[in-house]
Parts: sequence; structure tokens; C-alpha cells
Amino acid sequence: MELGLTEQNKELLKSIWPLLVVIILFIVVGKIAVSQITAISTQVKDAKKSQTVLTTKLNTLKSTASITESGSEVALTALPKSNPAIMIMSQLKNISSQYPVVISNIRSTFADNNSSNLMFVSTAFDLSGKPEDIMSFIKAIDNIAPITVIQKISITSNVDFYTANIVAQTYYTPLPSTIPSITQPVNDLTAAEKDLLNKLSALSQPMVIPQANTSGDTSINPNPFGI
Amino acid sequence: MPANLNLLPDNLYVSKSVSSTVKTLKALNVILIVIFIIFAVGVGAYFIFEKITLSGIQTNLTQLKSQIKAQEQSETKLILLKDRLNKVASIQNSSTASKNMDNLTTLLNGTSQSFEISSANVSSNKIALSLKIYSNEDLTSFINNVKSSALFGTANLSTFNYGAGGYSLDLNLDNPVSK
Repeated sequence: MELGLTEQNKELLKSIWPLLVVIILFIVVGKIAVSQITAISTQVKDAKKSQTVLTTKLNTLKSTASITESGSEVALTALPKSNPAIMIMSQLKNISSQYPVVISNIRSTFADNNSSNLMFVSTAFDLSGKPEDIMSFIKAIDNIAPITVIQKISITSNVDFYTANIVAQTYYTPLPSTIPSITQPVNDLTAAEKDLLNKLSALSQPMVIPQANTSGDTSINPNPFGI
Repeated sequence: MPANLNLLPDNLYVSKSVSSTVKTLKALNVILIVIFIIFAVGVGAYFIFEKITLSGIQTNLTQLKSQIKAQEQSETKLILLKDRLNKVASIQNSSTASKNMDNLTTLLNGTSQSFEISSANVSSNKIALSLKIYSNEDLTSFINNVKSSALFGTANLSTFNYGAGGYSLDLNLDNPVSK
């Protein structure tokens, strides 16, 4: 079909259409390229981030392996997973044998402190002796495992000795039921945590030490602590 | 004098300005096509480079995951340890009767030895103390110690008696300063 274009216009059109094609190609290819490159760059960025996290995690796990091996046992003794009534009674009798005091009426009652997922056994007992020996006994309770804190002390004076009624709380808490996913980072122990662990290691250990059931096969274990 | 002859029909005539524009456009086309080819090759090369990089990282990630999996027991113990340490720290930060007993001992250590504790009820936030003090000087010294002590927020002397054996006091000490 003859459009009636002059030769001048035909020449101009012949020159312009490749220009338009190239511009359209630039737009189309550019759009595809931008989206593809953005997508793959994001993937590379995320993968590098994961690689950094996993490398750090692996290094942390390797470097803390020796500490966690012994530390977890110490921590589990300090804060057991189950009722520590027998352990605390054993520890109280053990301390009383170190000081010239008479311990009697030891009685334990279970209590549930729901606010912080910590449970405790409340142990009440009577102590007779000189004031300084009673004080030494009270001080010694601060240095036993499982962690025991004194909530109430009632001291009365008799003729030549003192009688103290003491109420102590010994804490325990269930084991954590999950571990983070493999891509989640884990943090090394902080200086404060290492310091606390050293203090826990120095605590007087009970006769019976609870063991963490942390062994398992290599498949995904939804309940890694075996409870 | 040379004559400018144009034997072409009018409809085939292309003016100089149009001819010049067409030449410019053709040159521009060539430049743009070259730029486009460079751009396309560059983008393609970058895409392939990123694909290879991603593939390498993913291989590395797979190896890291298997190595971490092999350390699962260490991770379990680390999580257990951190959980225990956080909870022990929260227990140790709470107020206890033994901390308050330390406060009472500090208070009494600054006093003369000429007194006798009749009874003491110590809890995590208060102390009820019954004391016998045998002389005026010791009483003055003790009262001054209580007044100047920063270990307790309030001190309430609920009973104060004087008899043959000296002074007897019932003292309530509240709100120990947390350490």
C-alpha cells in the first residue's frame, strides 16, 4: 500500500525505526536484567549473611565445646531439672557436720513460682548453737549446690545458746525443650556468664549429681534434652 | 560558473538538512546498538558471575550445616548452660534474708559488744530485732549507728524499756538497700 510518503520522510523513517527498536530493547532487556540481577544479588547477599552466621556459629560451638561439656553439668547441679529436696537435705546435714550446731526438724514443701518458670522446694529447719556458728551455717548455705536462698531467719536467745528457725528455697526448673534452628546464631558465653559459671563451679557439690540427658542420634531431634 | 542541477523528480529529492539528520541518526543507531550489545553482554556476564558465586556459597553452606549438625550436642549443652546461667543470675539478683542478715551483721559489728540479741526475725525486706543493751554509752552508740546507717530505709523503735539489766529495745528495720 502506498502511503504517499516523500523520499525525505522515507529516509527519516528508515533511520528512526532501528533507533526505536534499540530503545525498546533497552527498556525490555533492562527491565528483565534489573529484576534478575536484583533477585540474584539478594540471594547472594542472603547466602553470604547465612555463611557468616553459620561460620561464626561453628567457631563458637567449637571454641566453647570444652567449657559447655563440664559447664552444663555444673549448671545442672546448681539448678536441677527436678525436685532437689533430697539433695538439699543431704547438703544441710553435710554442712551441719562441719559446724558445732544441731540441726533438727528438717521439712520440705513444694511450691510453684509460675512467674519466672522457676519452681522451688521450700525447706524449713531448726538450728541450735552459738550465734557465730549459726551465722557460719547460714553463710555456708550460700555456697552449696543446688542454689539455695534463705527467705526467713528467726533467731531466739536461750540461756547459753541460740535457736534459729530457717526457711530456705532451693530452685529447680525443667530443661529447655527446643534448640534454635540450624541457621539461627548462637552467642558465646559473656564475661558475666563465665564469671557466674566459675562461681557455680566453686559451690559445694551434693552427693548425688543429676546428669543431663543430651545424647541422641544424628537425625533431627525435636526434644533434644530427652525429657 | 558551475550550475547546480537536480535532475531527480521532486518526490525523490532529499534536502541536505534531512540527509545530514539521517546520517546522524544512522551513526546514533550504530552507537546505540554497540552500547546495547556491551550492556547485554555485561549484564549476562554479571548474572553468570553471581550464579557461580551463589552456587559456591550454597555448597559452602551445605558443608557448614553438616559440620554444625555434627556439633549438635555441643549446641544443646551451650543452650542448656546459658538457660541455667540466666536463671541462676535472676535468682541471685533477688533479695534474700541472708543478704539482709549481712546488713544486720554489718550494723551490729559497728556497735560495742555489750549487748545481747533476744530475738531477731529476718526476712528479705525487713528485720524485727529485740535487743538488750547494758549501758548508756552502748545505747547511744547503737542508736547513732542505726541513724547513720545507709543499709536500711526506715528504722522504727516500737518498744523501749529500762530495767535492772539495762535497756531493752524492739526495733523494726525496713527496706534494706539492695546490693
